[in-house]
Amino acid sequence: MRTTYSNRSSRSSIDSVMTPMIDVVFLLLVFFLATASFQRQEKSLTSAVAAAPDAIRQGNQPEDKPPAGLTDLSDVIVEIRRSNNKPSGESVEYKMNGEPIESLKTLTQRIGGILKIRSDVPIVIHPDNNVPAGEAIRVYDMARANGSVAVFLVGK
Amino acid sequence: MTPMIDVTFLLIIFFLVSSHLAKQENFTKLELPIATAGTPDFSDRPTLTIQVLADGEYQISGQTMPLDQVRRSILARTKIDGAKLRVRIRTDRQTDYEHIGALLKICAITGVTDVFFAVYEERMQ
Repeated sequence: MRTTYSNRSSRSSIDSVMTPMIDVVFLLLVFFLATASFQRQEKSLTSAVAAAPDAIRQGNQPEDKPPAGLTDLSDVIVEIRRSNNKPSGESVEYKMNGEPIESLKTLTQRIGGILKIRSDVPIVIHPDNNVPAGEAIRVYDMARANGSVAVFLVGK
Repeated sequence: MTPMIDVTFLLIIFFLVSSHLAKQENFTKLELPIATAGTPDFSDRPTLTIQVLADGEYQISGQTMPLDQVRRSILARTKIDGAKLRVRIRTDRQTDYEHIGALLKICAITGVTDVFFAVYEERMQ
């Protein structure tokens, strides 16, 4: 067994030092490549509890009717409609209780203001048929992130 | 001895990795909606995943089916799992909302009260 690396032939010496290190480095490289997940992690956006089925059979009401006890509060109805020519570049336009809102930012402020007073005001999100689902969920998420405990998406 | 151990370790890592990759490819690639309030899901309650593709097609465990068959699938699952059943909606963010609305209504009619969406967390682009 060779005990010293200060060999006269420096080339074979450096080889014998490097090879195990390269082995280990490659192994580590493969290991970390393998354990890294390149797929984005999926989170779940939990929904509020929907109504009992007998509440729906009575008519074409939204599927998520607010639970009893909240009905004395007036709902906040957010309508989302598709639009093509908006100065802000958004692809949808918003209406809150019938009143047009110019951007998502304004809508966030308005809803945030309401939720600061009461967080259990039912917010009903009513997107038009041709609105992309991502936009509807963006508003839904915005309401939840602002602390709302009762956001409902309309089922139709 | 040493080379054999090397090779064995390499094989172990290889199989660990390939099984990991096989697990990842269970789902169709979809551009999920972006949300900030999403939470990781650790629940072990029975979950039925329904995928809604960008063109409005519904898929349950890889099979494309019309809405009526989706309803029957949910009903069949509620017979097995009862009220514990949850429905997870994986939708593309470009899907028209009418497809989601229709699906939500069917969930309500079939008595599934726990519906949630699969989302991606917001990240820097």
